[in-house]
Amino acid sequence: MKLLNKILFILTISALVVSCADEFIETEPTSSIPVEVLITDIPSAQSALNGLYSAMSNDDNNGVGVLIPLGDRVTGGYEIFMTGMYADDLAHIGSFPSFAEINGNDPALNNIDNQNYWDQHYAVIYRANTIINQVPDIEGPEAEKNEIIGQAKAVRAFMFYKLVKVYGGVPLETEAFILPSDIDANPIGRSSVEQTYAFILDDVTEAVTLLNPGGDIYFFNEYSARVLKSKIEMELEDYATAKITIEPVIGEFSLANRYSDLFTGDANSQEAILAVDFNETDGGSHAFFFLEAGRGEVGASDDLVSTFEADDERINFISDGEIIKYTDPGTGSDDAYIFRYADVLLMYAELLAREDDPMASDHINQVRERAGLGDITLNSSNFIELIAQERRVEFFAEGSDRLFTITRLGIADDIISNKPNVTFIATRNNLWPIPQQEIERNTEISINDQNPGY
Amino acid sequence: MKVHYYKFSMLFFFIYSMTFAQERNISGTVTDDKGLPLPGVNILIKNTDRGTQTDFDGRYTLTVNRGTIISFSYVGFKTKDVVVGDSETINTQLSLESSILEEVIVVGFGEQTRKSLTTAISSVDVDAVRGIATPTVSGALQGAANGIQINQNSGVPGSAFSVRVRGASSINGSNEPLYVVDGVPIVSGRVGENAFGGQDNDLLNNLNFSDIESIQVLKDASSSAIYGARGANGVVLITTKRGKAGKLTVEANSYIGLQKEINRYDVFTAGEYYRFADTAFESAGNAPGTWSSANGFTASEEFYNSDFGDSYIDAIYRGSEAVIRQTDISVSGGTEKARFYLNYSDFNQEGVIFGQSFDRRSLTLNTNFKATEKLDLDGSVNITETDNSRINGDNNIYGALTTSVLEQPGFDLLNEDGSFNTDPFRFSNPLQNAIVDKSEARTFRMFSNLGLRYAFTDDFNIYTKASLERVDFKELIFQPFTTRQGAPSNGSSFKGINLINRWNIYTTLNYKKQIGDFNLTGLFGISFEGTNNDDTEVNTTSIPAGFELPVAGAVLVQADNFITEQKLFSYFGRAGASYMDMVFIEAVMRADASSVFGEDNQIGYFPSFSAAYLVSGADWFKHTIVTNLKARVSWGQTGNQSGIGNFGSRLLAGSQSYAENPGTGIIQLPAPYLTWETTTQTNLGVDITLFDRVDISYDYYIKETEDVLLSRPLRNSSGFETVAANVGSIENIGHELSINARIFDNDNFSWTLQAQFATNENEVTELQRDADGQFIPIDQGFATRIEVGQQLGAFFGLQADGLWQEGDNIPQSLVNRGISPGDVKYIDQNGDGNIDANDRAFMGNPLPKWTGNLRNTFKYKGFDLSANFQFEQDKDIYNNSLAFGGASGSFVFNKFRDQLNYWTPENTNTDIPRPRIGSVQAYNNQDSDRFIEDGSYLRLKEVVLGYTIPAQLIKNTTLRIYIGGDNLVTWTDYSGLDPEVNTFGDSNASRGTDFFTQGLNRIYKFGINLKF
Repeated sequence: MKLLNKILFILTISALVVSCADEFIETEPTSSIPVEVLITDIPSAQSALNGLYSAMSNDDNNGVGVLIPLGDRVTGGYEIFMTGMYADDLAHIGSFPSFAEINGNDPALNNIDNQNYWDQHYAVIYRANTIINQVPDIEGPEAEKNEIIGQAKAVRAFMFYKLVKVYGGVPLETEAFILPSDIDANPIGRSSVEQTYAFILDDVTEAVTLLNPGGDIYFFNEYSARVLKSKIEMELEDYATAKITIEPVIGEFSLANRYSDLFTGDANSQEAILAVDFNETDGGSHAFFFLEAGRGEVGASDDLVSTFEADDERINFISDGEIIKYTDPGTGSDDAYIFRYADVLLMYAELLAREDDPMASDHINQVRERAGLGDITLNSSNFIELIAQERRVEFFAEGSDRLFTITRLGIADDIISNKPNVTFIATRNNLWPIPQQEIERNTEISINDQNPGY
Repeated sequence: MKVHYYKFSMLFFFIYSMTFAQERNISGTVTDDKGLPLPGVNILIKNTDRGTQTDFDGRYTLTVNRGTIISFSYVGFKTKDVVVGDSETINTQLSLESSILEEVIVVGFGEQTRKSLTTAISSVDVDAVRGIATPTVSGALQGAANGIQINQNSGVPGSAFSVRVRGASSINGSNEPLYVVDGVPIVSGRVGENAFGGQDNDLLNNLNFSDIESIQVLKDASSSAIYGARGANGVVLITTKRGKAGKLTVEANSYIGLQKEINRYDVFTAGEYYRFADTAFESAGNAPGTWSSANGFTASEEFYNSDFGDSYIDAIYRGSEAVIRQTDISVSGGTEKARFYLNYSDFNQEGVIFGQSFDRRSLTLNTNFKATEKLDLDGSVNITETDNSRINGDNNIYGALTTSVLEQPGFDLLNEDGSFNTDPFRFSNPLQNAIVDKSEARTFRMFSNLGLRYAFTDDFNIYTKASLERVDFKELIFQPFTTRQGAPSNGSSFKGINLINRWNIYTTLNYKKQIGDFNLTGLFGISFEGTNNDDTEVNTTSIPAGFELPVAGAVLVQADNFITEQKLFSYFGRAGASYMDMVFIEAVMRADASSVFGEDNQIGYFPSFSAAYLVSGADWFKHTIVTNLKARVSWGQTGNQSGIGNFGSRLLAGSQSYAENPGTGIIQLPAPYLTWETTTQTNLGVDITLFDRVDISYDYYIKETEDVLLSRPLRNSSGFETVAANVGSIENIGHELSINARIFDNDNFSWTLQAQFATNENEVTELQRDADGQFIPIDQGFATRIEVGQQLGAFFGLQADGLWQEGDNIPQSLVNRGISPGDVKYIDQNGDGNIDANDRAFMGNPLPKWTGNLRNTFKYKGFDLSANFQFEQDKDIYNNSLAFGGASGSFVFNKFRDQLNYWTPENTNTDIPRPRIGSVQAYNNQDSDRFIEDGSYLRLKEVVLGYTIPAQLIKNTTLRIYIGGDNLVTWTDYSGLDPEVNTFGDSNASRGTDFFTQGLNRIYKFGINLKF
């Protein structure tokens, strides 16, 4: 009997224990938070907006034990290297095989940097879509909501702009799916170049309306949205509208006193219209790759070094082939410019020159004077060469300006085909290939949709 | 006449009496293996039917001729033959029949005899492998247990091993078996940030081998089903030593060894390097000698034939042999009521390259108490501390081994004043990388448990065990500002502290009953366990001179804290029945509720069935040639939950700030349907013993794993690249054969042979399908692709067919890209005239077709000699070192010596491409079968010669001294350092890849075993 009692006792306890199984195994994550919906009110929308810019500034590899900043496919890193090497400003002096391919204008279909560029821009677009789709439905003052939506649209426009310039027409993704099954069920194919530009123009036009002028230089505002809109309009050869768009920006900023004031690690507050904030905990990879003290992977091309006029102060930022605009290879804390006032002046100078407006020379000469150079006369017959040249020596190694300018002005073929050791295939039209992985995984894009020449 | 007849008969008598004089009485005592008299022993005069038996005191007398052979035999003991000599007394001691059937095997939550085993379990002869000079349990198991493939991923001290039981069946999860010590699953796996290039930190490093009594590996589903959702990769059951009642035993074991690397790289001289680089520049139209002059030299034949500067490779190796040693001292003993075992162990290993070392100190106390007639207690505590010093061994620009090979030659490593010469090096100074940069990890592990058994009756008892394990892993990675690594950040210091807590409590009810010819056993249990991980990381730069830690004066770059936990609640049961000790059946069921499973799928059920028929147990079975014959069959399902992160099924937002404003963003898409991977395994086995001497065991298994967790690809334009899903299937089919033969077994001489062979065919049978129904392949590593119909981790790339030569018809599309004679001729698989990613095909497999070992052990008087050969056959290695150190790599890197035969217009009969720069160099360097090599090898894993001092000389003491060597000889065609390494460490799919991974060492050792 005693034995039986003992057994019954044990079995009862076990039964009780077994029935509470569910509660026993409850656990909650603490390092990331489970959410149903990311954006529920203004504070969470603001948080998501900061997260959007964070994705734009580096690729968020969780910062786990990373001693050297790597990443930055969108700003402050790889996009500078890749577009610079593909054009004629930068030269590959290091060892990355993928960079060698890009420098020779022959990227393989599965070139890893090409793929990362594509992936990272779409990751930013995803976050922008989340904000654009969810913010209209939350409770809060219209003005604040509009400010957030406006910025998200500006960022999205900016992302698609950087995609269409190097790939041509791309999938116009406007959803931010949560469920993988939804992603599978809604593949999107490539739109045409025209459709893509129309979409971008829509977004940026709305951004200009929604955003206020002034504000933190690290976030989009009406001025930076205008700069972007004007650039789009210039791509579309709508120069009249472009001029009207950019005019309100003229005079709102001023050039930094000296060219060297621009590269102190922090974006210059006088001249910066939009910059990306990098700091010790959130660095870019520009310095690390440009400097011998870092990896020394990318340097100035011989052609760039020899293109400066005598007395041009800007050449001081190339030392022995090394680009020294960024000085912190350890943590990558140098800010990166997206738009600065010199850019606006040169845009306006070009627009005026196209109309043979005498003020054109005035604006380009402001930029030249700051660099220690004399004046020139700009008119409709020489502006292509002079503007392209001035932009080159002003903005080298800061973004994608060289590649975007020469393709826009129609002089890319000549320039690229004359690079040393280049594989120039005219049918490629100076575009990069759609990444192999996208073609394999996207049922709406097949090998036939690949850019010609690949 | 009468006289002759008389002489003849005298002669006859003489002879006759002489003959009779040979035959005489002998007597003696027969004792058993413990020295006690054995009554009833049969004594037979060979080739006659005359004989006798021993009496109650074990004594006998017998009349025999000198020179005849008498045979002593008794059931349960080995028959012994003795030649009758001059002595009148012949005493004999009989030794126990070493019947394999009586071997006791530890199974999950219990023990069985091998006779009643219905499942596939490998027992490891722990004594045979005890002397291997390696700190990890896995290292000692290499070539010891059949069906288990163990590879050392890197030769660095303290680095981890990959262990696979019957092939890999998971892509995202772990393929390592579950490790259970004394019934409690322990924390295992990888931690830390200093896991450069395959040198993972393995928490199993903390297990002290000298504490281990026995190791069993549960291979099939039925044996591991009792571990449910963690049993799919097999289970390694480790039992530690316990004290025995009797006098106090003191044991001391110690060995010391010297290590030398098996192979060292060999590179171009400085002159050869400049000739190569100049040739590369010339091929692009530059002037001859361009690179030489860029470096301040004038190119000339004399210059190219010269050599100058230090040898970087020779500098980073220690030079004098690196020492490895271990000392254990244990005391054990006790009474019937209380027994204990206490062991202190100290292990030290220096790396062959500067800056590497691994130390371990451990203390173990195991106790057993018989509190009352019915109550038994057992408790144990183990404390271990390890220190691991590493250098950056990764394939990056600061790795000591990498830079020693690839850095531009011709410079001096040290300046005149003895300081490191840092300027001329493109990346970093190899010697400084090895000596100055610091990466140190300290692990403190405490493992404790307490068990209680209460026996209600002889047949029914309850056993409860509670255990707590704590692992503290601390690492410091410091680079002073004087090194190239530390200079950009002005010195950087990273500290990571990972505190792991694991607790476990289980209770089992054990029942057995005999009813007539039937024997029944039953087990029912409940178990509850949890693991908690608290990880803090601090990263700082601008370290003030003289400081190494992330101190307050430095600049804070990163401060993170992660906490994660998981819990598991289960109940399980096992029922077994046997009939007449001949037919055995068993059924097991386990149910697991785990916190990592998605909400839709929280409880998993894992059943299994097995049966065995001991054919030789039947009455009609004639024990002549075949003395033991048993057939086994089993089927079961086990799970693998390791592939799901602790919160893998939820939608998660992470914290990402910008411009010092807090931000959030979605970082993980949800997967509420996530569940464990299920492996269904069928096993057929046969155990045969021939002549009572040769044990043969053969197993055939089919393992099908479904719901394999994958990071299944999403289209890139969605903003996410992957999401976790259970969509894959993998199949493993294989055979295992092991032969253990006691070829000779006499008093003076014995020879045992162990031969084991295993083959495993691995195939991925299902992956995620795209909308068109096609399987989506997954790319990993350098040239690894996971695709249906291929091995997990097959290599995928372009195929090359030598080089283009003068006069070949090179397609126009390639000419446009700059390809000309001397460049690699890739095969245009899809015939479109161009070479691109669509021309890739499968080109090799990293998993070996055959593995096995052959061990011979000889004993002669006091000497023992043992040699173990281990092999892996039919496997490929992707030698990615060639992408940098090969002729198709960039000119900035130095090249391997065997690349000297590169193509030039004068030297066209070669497969090594011409030196190039720019995009054509990148073209020649694409991932292709040019980097695939045969990695099969045969290795003399261990050789030991020992001598035990005869018992007569030293009373009550056993002293054995031995010398030996590990990894003394390796036969292989592979051109890298070692065919066993993997630069991706424990990765499931990216295997068999070498990227300047440090190889294994040859070890010459000397040791003693002392017991008294």
